[in-house]
Amino acid sequence: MANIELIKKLSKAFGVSSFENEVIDILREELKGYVDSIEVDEMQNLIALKNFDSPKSKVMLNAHMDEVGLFVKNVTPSGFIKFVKVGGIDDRVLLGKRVIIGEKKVRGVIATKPIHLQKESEKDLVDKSWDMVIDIGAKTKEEALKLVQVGEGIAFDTEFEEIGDGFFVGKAFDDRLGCAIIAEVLKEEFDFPLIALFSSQEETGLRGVTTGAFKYTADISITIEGTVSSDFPDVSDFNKVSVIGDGPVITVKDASVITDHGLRKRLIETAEKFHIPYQYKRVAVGGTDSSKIQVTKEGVKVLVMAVPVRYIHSPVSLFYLDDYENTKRLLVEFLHSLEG
Amino acid sequence: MKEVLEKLVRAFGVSSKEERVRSVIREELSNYDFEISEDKFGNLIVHVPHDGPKLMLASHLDSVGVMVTDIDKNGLVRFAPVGDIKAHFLLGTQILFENGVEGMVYCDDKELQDIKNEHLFIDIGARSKKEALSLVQIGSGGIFFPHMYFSKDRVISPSLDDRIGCGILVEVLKNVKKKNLRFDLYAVFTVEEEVGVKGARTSTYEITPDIGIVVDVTPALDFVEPKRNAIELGKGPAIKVMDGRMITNMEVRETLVNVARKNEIPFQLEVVTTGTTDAFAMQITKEGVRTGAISIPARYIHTQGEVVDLNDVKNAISLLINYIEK
Repeated sequence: MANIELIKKLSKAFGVSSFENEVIDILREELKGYVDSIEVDEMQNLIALKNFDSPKSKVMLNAHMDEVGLFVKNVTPSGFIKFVKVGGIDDRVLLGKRVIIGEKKVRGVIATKPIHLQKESEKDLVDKSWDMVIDIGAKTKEEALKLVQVGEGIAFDTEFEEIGDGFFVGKAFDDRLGCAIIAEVLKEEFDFPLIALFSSQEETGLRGVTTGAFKYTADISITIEGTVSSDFPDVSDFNKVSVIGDGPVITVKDASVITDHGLRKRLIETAEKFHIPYQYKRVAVGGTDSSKIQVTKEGVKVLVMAVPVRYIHSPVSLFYLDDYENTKRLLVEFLHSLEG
Repeated sequence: MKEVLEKLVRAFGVSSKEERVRSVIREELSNYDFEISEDKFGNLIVHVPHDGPKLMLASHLDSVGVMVTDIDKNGLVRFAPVGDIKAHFLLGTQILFENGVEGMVYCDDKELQDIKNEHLFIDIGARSKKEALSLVQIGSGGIFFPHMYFSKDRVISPSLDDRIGCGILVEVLKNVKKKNLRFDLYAVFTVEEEVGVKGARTSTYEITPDIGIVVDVTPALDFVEPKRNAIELGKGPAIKVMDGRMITNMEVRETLVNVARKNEIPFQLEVVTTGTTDAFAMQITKEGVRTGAISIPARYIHTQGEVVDLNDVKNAISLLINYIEK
């Protein structure tokens, strides 16, 4: 069964790109005793090795630890925070959201001119992020600067909870679900060497992985993601990218990579053999760490598999537990198929 | 050259599915004394061992095309473009899939100026989703149907980007005199250039050359008024100065210019601000590689009918051979 407590901890952890420490601590604790070594490199990638000295082909499992968020840009004379976005966030989802800022975990809310004061012509427009501010309840710039520093990260302040039957809402499922799945899978035993790369700064342009994939060279790599599901009523079937409840999303091609055709065939065969539902990613959008892993040194064969998640890159996202379970199961069975 | 080029263009080879283009090149070079190997990413590496600095020539095997992402309930094939293809240049074309299935690209009901790639589908003559799935699969690749036409001096054909480069390297390898070599020569036919200059990264890492020269195409906008760039068909191969992602190594560039002048080979200089080639990746691999590039002027790149002047091809071969030999 899925480790819901772990998913909850990871989802609630503060981990805006380059501030991944809390996620690192959770994973360190979780993996203790199940892997042979854990290290954190200069770019804050967490790399765990298991059975690394075995002469067999080396397999990398990869998920990114960071989440999209904001950075403090400056503070206005009246004590409001101006910010910049880190990673792709739709400006429309920002207004009115609660946030957590920096080391002191200061609480705030993203604000703009109230509707009462807007002109008729402004009501149909959405403010741009650079016009918004964060209110942290400070009266002056000096007061605000005692609580937050320029350059600190800002994450959404979102509860993790179950809604309906088996649906969970929370933040940062892209890609804490990948982190959770890999952490769970590392507790199983395989007869080949495993390199687990929990990467930093994926959302800022696949930066952590560029160095993280270099030190230990894998023969094949599997990236586990939380990917876009846009299965809404007004979206035509072929534009849905993926559908909640239809199982792990297997990427043929996205904007950054074409996955290895041979390995992907094997993955599909595994799914069919064990009657695990799966779906293909239907629109070639988005990019993942796999595109950097693929061209590391002499090259690596890559696969990408994901849990479908609604509303990624927003303050609250949603996944379905069966999809998580099936993604994990398919990964485990696929890894077992590489044994022997 | 025409014969080799025809074989190369007719070989299916969308990015990540370059096997058949590789086979054509292996076959062409089978009677020569070269060390030929294929790396795990699929790059084909031809080595002519000799004393001297390591020179790596590179052209890419892959072409732009499409990849199947979904089949809708009517049996129409939805796809992702592979490489940078504009929707307007896909609409109305015929597609050849890797298994020989053919299809016609059309679009959802939209005003023509609003057509984007996501509105396009391929009709493969299937009456249902089930029938369509028996003909193509998710992940199947397709290319512009390889019609070719040769006029007196020019060729009109899809996939000249970069089969023309592959053809040039094949001719160079066949004609270069081993005893005259100045270099330890590698010719690399790379994979997945069109989806992020990928094969060049890994093969350059493996070989670690001292000097790199890439042979690819560059847009000839000689039909546009006012002239947006100086590159014209038939005025000689273009020695690259810069493109959207790189500036070539001055020493390599000047040597190429001097070789062209000395041998009275016509050439043009290429300065463009968009697009790039394998040379971009090669230049910044490991500690860096002195990298230059020779570009064949081509009209209508990434369409069903790219146009190249064969005199430019002939002159590029001659420029390269004169560069490589003492």
